[in-house]
Amino acid sequence: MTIQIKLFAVAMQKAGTSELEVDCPLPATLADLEQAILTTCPTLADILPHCRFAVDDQFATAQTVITTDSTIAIIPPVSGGAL
Amino acid sequence: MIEITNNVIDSQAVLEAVQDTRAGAVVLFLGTTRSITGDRGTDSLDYECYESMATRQLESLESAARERWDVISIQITHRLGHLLPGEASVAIAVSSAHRVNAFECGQWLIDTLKEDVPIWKKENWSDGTHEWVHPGIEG
Repeated sequence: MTIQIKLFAVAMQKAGTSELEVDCPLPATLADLEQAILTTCPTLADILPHCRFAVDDQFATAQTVITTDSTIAIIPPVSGGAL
Repeated sequence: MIEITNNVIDSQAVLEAVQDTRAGAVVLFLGTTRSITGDRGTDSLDYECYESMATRQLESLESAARERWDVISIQITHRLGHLLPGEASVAIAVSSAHRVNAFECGQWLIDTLKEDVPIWKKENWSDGTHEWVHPGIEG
């Protein structure tokens, strides 16, 4: 199954695109998806462990199940800012 | 209320959005573009956003804050796009009957926004280099 993943900021810069297409059997967990992303786009390897995933506009957890209807995005760490 | 905009932030309008005759305190926070970070100069910042999720996250921040503090009104306005030093990227205003709630709530909102709302900034350094700012990731 082909899944579209939205990319932003440094993830977009490293992948060279704002939307990545990966092949992954569904339903899938985030761990499955992460593996599929790294196979398609190894340049994300150094940042992916620092990123979170969003599924349907909410932060996903290890228990989140990805189906054909899911909207998926990689969320790099937010700007932060020292207090 | 929540607003994500490409326009210059009108801080007076943000204040007016929360003013209420029941309020004894109005707190306004502005996050402004700093021209110096450590020993590096900044020419400008570019803000990018995952808008559908950012809107949803900001709305849930507002409801969480209202559950936690007795406040009258909250306005959060975030600007996107290209900002020059001195310009505001974010404005948060909170009104409450007594000041402690407005201060605490406003501080919590900006601290949490900077962790959980998918809006990112790119530093355009004075030396001509560009860098996305992500805590924990080397540029």
